Amino acid sequence: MDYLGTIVVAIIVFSLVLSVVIYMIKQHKNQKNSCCGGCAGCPMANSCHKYDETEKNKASNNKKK
Amino acid sequence: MEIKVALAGNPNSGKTTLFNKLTGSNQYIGNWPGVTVEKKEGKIKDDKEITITDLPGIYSLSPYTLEEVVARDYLLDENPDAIINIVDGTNLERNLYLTTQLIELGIPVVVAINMYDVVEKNKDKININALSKQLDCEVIPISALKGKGIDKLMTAVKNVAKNGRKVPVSTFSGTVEHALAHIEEAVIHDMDPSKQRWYSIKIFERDEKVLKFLNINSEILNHIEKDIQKVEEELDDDSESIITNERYIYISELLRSVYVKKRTGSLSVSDKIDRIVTNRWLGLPIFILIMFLVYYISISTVGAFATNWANDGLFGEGYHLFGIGTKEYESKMDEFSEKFIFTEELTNTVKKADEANVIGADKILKSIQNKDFREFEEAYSTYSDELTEKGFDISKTVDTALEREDVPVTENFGIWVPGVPVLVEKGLDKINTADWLKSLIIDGIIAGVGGVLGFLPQMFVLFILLGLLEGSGYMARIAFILDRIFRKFGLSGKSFIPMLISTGCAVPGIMASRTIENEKDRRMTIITTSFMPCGAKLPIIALIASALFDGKWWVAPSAYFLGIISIIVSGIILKKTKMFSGDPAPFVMELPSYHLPTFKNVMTRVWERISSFIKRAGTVILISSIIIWLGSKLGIVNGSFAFDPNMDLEVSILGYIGKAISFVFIPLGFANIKAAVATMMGFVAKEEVVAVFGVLDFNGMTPLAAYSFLTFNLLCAPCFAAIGAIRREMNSKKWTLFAVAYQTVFAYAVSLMIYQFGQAFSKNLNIAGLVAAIITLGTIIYLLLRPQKKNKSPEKIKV
Repeated sequence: MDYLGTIVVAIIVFSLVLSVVIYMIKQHKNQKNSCCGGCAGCPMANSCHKYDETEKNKASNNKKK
Repeated sequence: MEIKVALAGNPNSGKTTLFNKLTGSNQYIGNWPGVTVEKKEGKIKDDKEITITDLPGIYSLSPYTLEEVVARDYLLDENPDAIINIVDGTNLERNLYLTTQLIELGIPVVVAINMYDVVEKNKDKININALSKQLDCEVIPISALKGKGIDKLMTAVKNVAKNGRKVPVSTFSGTVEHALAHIEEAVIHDMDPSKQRWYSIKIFERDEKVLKFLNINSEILNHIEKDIQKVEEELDDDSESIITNERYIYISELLRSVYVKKRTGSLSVSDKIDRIVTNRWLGLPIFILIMFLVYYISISTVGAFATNWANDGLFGEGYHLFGIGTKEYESKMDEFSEKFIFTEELTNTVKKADEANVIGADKILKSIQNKDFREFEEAYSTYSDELTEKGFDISKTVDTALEREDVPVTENFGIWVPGVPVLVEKGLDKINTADWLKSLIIDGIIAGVGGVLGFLPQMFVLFILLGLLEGSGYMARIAFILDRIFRKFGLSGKSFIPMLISTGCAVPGIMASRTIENEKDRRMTIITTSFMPCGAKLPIIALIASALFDGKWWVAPSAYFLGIISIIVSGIILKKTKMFSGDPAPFVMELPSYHLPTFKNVMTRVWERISSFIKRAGTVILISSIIIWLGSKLGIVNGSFAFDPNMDLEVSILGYIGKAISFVFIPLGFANIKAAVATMMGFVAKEEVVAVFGVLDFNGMTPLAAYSFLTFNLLCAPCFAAIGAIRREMNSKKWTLFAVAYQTVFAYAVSLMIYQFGQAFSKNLNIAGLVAAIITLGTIIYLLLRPQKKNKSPEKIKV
């Protein structure tokens, strides 16, 4: 029982940290941005991935050559 | 029926305002060019079958700038059902130039005359029906900002979209129309008649992209070339200029019949303000004064008050509600400390430490002489470790006095609200939480994240002030003002626009460099843009200013201007290298009219930036703070690897890492573990520098070393997110490495000079350091003054 408080708090903290890590990984995979601040209000929102696509196209064109 | 509509118009004509009104979205609205480089799409909120695409602001459909190419490609390839051409009603002549080109595409056009309320307020008159008849398209007066005329506009759009494409009217002189007819007949007679006009004009202008696309037979090409040359000889001009002139002649004649301006030749309010604000002599001093005030107000006055409350109160020991009881407590504490803390023995020890030039001893001594416990407490918490290390330990006297039963207690005065760490600790103690977990939560998470969030008030004030400047239209003027200075050094004001964006965050600033056509200038802009202090660097500026400079008025503004000077110096140095030499790019920009920023717009912008900051604090900073805490509690004790919540930093993992890298910073004056680790963690996120000091305690730096530390962290390579943006925009590992290396070396050089010259002036001479600083200064002066390399022809961006 002495350790109950520690266990409960540890579970809460660990869950919080895990959910933050999962959120960051998901955000990175879905949005492919590394800003962590989100796109809302960014003046270059919607322009972020244009060059990713351009690079991919260039890479695939180079492969074809 | 699904309808695709394109929204096209000049920059600052109100496209994005109209787009937001129609779609209900919250796209960013700025007052400088380059804000919208890519197209944005949305569905009309009242009619989901209509998709509207907001194209970049353009002045024409020529293929010279990235924005023009993006807009043109969309209109030709996507073939929208209709175009809404939004024009600024107060500036019809310039705006109608694009209108004539859009009509030539054959796509149904509805002209929306925006800011019509301003037209009416100015008592100017536009004959809408006559204009509509002459242009052979619908013309609807609107006010996008006030939401007037929008319904009528969308009704007109739906009607024209149903009717489909139409053959555009002829608008040029007989000679030109004759040549165009020949071209249509010879080259594109098989094409859809509604498209023929636009293509014939482009062929006449010898548009490279169109000629390549049409792949015209060389015999036919030679034939029509003769026709074009005939017209050029007759009108004594090149074909492109002929078309431009013809358009403007048509527009002038058109406006003569439909537009009556009440005040011709008189200056508008914006013009009158610009006469002062963009004046050749006053422009720069006014800019310096305004930015000085912005940073001074946000960091040193209004913001500082709230941040002190947040750091010392909310995320510290606590605070008196509404300040009730604070004065009485401080007065009692001053009396108490005079009797029991500022003893003769303690005073003498501190005096000796001051004579021995121990860091911080002078500050502690000053507080004793002032008999100010609050001042003493601040200086003591920052510098007591230094005094102890140098053999002037005063902690025993202080701790003994504070353990007395008659020591004044904050809770006994007014209404005391305990800080978050105190409340959390009490809560954790109640449920018998283990010490290590308590330490993780309080010394790791709360100290780290709280240390960063504590600066939110200052950021809030700064973002409001910057938002007011942006919303009023002044920000656009800054690029214009600085262009005059930049041009003297071979730079262009267009490069400054990404830097203005970087005051929020370097990532969009770096991406905004796409608006620069010249490849060399673009690369140079990418490299230097992160010298501007972004929002994340603000906590570092605020921490140094408040902790070591007592919130002095010049610290925060100096950080901003240091960024600008670094940009100018770097620009001159880089421009003189072969890699970046060339003439400065021409810079043409439209200055939007001044207007009162709306509360909603400003606060929306502020909230977006603040929420982004809070999000980062709750994610990146949280994880990094835990890692820092862990690194400071794991280490080698008695020859074995161990975890100890009270571990000495020197023997922890973090300590070993810090010691391994700190030697690099010896010449810069901050060669200690904490500063080295903080700088390293700054690459994760610049706010992390402050979070590290939150976890590890901020102490042991002289003001000079602190300013050198500040300089290095402001100017060195940015965070990983920004480096990623550099990588994407440079599209080259080599250039990315060069950018990072240049920024870091430059930061090192500047910090070295600041520290070593400062030491020499304050008579703490270090010969080797001074020599290094002199050599560095000499090198920079040489790089600045050496002759320019020969110009190469500017490269265009390949699209």
